[in-house]
Amino acid sequence: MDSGSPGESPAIVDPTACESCGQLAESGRSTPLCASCRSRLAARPLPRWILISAAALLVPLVLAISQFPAALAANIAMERGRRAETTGAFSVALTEYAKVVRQFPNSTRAVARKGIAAFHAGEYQVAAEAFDAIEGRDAPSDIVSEVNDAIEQMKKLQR
Amino acid sequence: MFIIPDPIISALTFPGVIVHEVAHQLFCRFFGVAIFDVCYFRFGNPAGYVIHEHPAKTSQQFWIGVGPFIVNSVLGGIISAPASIRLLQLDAVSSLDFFLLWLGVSIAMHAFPSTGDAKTLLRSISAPGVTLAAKMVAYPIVGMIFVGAIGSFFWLDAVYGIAVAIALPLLLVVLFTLGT
Repeated sequence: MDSGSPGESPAIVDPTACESCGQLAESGRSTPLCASCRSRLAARPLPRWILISAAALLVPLVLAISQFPAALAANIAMERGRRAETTGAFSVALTEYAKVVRQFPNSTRAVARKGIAAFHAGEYQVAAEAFDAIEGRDAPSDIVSEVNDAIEQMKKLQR
Repeated sequence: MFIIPDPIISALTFPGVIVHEVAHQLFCRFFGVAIFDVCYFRFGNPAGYVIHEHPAKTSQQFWIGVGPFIVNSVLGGIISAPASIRLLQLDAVSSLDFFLLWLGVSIAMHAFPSTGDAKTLLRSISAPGVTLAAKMVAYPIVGMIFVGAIGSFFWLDAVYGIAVAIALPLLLVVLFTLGT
């Protein structure tokens, strides 16, 4: 992918004449062109297929822009939840994870973290519902282990 | 080192090549620089090119050379950002997300100016009349462009494309969660 200037022209008879139309060329430029020809060459039109491709590119671009605020808000809530968990503020973490789950109910990670935070916050019903929702889904091993630990402890508390 | 020929990589990531060349062309148009030939995509090396006259000012040459870096990075980052969040942070990815990630990373990985761009820029800033200040700014940038172009052999362009997809959301999350 290059952008560059062409090599020296082999035979420029008159450097003051426009290479394209022969009229008086603009001074102080590397290629002898008149203002009109330079403008025309600079404004070289984009081919139709490029314009169609650009219009097609607008679709994913608009889609991405429209989806970004929700995804970013969920990512921020996820991060706040993580931080709250590390400081032991499990109720806060539960609130943050619940925000993520409202937006992305199919996010196994968010539902699992919501369940774990709910368990630590003493909200066992909420925790049980979250763990039921992700039963049988694939998840990273560290989360699976945390979820299983929480379920075991909830079972012990139930006895 | 796992080597895939450049034309194959360019074919798999063709939207980035096209955006790169269109960006060159639009910067030429903006500065009123005559364009002699444009190839938006081809199976070859280079995969695309814009042949234009030597601009009147070094700064114009700089922007024509570096412009695609900004355009491809911003466009690639925006397109891939929500998909990158859903994939990496939320584990809630759909097939549409894979399409957005491919498109965004393809565009961002062709952000790096080519060695051709760097050589043109180098000729331009080495010319008499260019101020020392301009040279001090431009030489390191040209150096980085060469490093980036050589680094594409080591998948640096792909690493950059992926980094752009991840970086924008990460940066915003860090900013929005500062002090919370």
